[in-house]
Amino acid sequence: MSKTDVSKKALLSVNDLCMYFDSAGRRIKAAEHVSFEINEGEVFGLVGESGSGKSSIGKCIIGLNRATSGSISFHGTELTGIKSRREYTEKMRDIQMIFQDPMSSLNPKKQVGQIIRDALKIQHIGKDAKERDKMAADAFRRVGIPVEYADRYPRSFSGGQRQRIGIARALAGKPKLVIADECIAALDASVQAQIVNMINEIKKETGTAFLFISHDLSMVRFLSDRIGVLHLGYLLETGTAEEIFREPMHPYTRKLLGAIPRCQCRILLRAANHSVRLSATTLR
Amino acid sequence: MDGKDDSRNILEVKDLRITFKMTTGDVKAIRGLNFSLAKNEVLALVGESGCGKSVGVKAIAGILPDNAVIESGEILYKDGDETVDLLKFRPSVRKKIFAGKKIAMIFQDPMTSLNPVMTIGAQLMTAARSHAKMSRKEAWAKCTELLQEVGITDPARTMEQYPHQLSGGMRQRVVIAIALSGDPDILICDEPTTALDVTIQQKILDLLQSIQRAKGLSIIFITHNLGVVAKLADRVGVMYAGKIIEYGTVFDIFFEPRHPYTWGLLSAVPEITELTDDQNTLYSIPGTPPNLAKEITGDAFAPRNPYAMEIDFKAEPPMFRISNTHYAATWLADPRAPKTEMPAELAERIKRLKQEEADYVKN
Amino acid sequence: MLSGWIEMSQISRAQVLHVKEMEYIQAARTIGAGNRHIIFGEILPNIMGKMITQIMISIPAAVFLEAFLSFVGLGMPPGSCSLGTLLSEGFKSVLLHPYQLIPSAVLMILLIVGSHLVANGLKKATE
Repeated sequence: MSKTDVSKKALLSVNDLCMYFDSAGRRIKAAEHVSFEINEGEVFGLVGESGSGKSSIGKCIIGLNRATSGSISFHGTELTGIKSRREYTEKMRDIQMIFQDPMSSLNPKKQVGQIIRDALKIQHIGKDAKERDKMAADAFRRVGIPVEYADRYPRSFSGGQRQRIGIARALAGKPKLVIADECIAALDASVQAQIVNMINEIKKETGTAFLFISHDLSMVRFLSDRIGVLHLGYLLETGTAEEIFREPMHPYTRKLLGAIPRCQCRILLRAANHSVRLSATTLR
Repeated sequence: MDGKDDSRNILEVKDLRITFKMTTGDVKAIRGLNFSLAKNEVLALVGESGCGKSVGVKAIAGILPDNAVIESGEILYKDGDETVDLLKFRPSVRKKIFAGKKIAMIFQDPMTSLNPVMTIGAQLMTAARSHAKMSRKEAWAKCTELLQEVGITDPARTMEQYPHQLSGGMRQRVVIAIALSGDPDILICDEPTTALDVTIQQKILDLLQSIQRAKGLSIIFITHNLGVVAKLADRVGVMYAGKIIEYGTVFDIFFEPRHPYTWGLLSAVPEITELTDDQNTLYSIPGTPPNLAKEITGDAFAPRNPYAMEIDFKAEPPMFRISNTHYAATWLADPRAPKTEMPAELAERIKRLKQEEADYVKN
Repeated sequence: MLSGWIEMSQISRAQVLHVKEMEYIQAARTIGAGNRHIIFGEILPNIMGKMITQIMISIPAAVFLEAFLSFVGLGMPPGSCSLGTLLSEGFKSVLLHPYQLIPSAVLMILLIVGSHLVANGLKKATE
């Protein structure tokens, strides 16, 4: 896993981002003065429990949520405060998103090839239909879905395959940054491993940066170069993956790491002792 | 099935086969399930979606959907001194005697397990009074006691609240309280912490562990999280395509796994303690679980098994006895099979864990 | 006629609200799709199934309502040819010529049951 190369340029810069919204008469502070950077070609893991604001921040960056204050700049361009849809489409062309629920992230009435071609068309990527076809086919190949399946509907695919199609949709236009919002949470362990391996390969081959939002600490640690820990809207700690896991500084980070059930010997020995006690009591 | 003294077992599932009748054909969801649960023991059932773990325990709890047909098998439950086959009872009779009382179940999503329009108190009292005759006052006292047992600090207040006013962790505690209201012998937990945050999950698991030890409950715990298995379980059954393919104590499964699918599962989880890795890929089992609507010849895992031999495609492996406590259904365990070692990375990881433990014990 | 559209609009509104929460709509937004594309390209195809079923169900309701009103004399004038008036005329002479009731009754039953069957079939097909 590559460690941070300090000479890399900052691709995405979030500064003092605050996001508040009103719900049921109360003010909810989803993000409080959050600042971090993502460098080109690196995977930044944003980790936190539910309610930490990690999804809200991801949606802020992609424009689904409106930031209350602060700035998000991508490649030097300021993303907050964009008013016109045309300006938005232009500036956001290099940032894409992968969603969490494979069952609802693809339009069930569209063929999967169509979904990708439409996505390209709306963003005015690709000169003509032929080029878009080719880009869609390339994207399918990269995620391991046979191109012949492009005219099938989402319901013919399994959860893991649908998630791959979602990733293909995000990668088709060759973006510089992909935001993965809990994209493996809904999948089985072995499928998670497949997807995570794929993301690693893609990162190496294309140099795409990823913002990997997840509550699964083990996967975040495995995939990320750098990690940020969120709690109740505050970004408590950032560092390289090793730094965070080897020497967590913030008490909350330590608590989070300590809470992960692990396959550790002493737990097993405890269990083994318990079983030994059981068999001892039944000797009649 | 075990070399152990069978009279210790409170539940025995023997050769259970369940088929779902769907409009598109029959799906053989359970294809010969065998396991036993001893008193005062936690059995973990692990496996991925579609392996049948939920279906198996629903058969025990008696809540299978209408289109499920139990083709054969027995579920033997030791009720006091006599042993009964749960499947021989008519559903209505079964509900009256067993459901909630002797065999209780908790589910994954606490929000949908609780009735959103009834207060917690109303739901708890209904449960308590359905198990034993008692006055409202007695029921109230019992329910408050139950809530305290599950770690809710202000039971009186919680009784008046509605489910949506509680956090996910508290809701799951209430669900556990309802399950315990009938004083069951067996508690079945179907992924109860999967939907919860890691820190809350730890608390709920600690709670379940302390309740289990205090009451000597037998628990069947379904999960796909191996870390949870390590923490909670005494014995583990690894399920694949409707059968248990490896079965043993926690030690057997984590330190001496013999089935290639178990190797795959253990390798697919990135270990937090691995800090010296230059490992860039997680070992992932290629392919997807088999379609249970079709006939399966040979080992169901064979198409995805990098260690498959010719015989795996022809005949289904029986459960081979590896030790008194450890069984695996793979042809690799046959004495005639070529000696096959587990993948190198997994062996390394296990060695590292053992070393860590040796260091820990020293200090 | 004046208030019949309300039921339909309530159903379509509920459907749209349900579909709106789906992630593929969010996905369309993130790539900058405009409202027009989202409504007609993404949401509409997904609610069409339920809308058509609803239309099919409302046909027998309309048939029945008209027949009922005409039967009690509140609907079409007696001379015109509607199921209700036919039934009404037939009912008047039920004691003398009961058969006059039968054709219109059978037709009405066939219409209503047929529409329901088609609606059910459509519902299964679009799900």
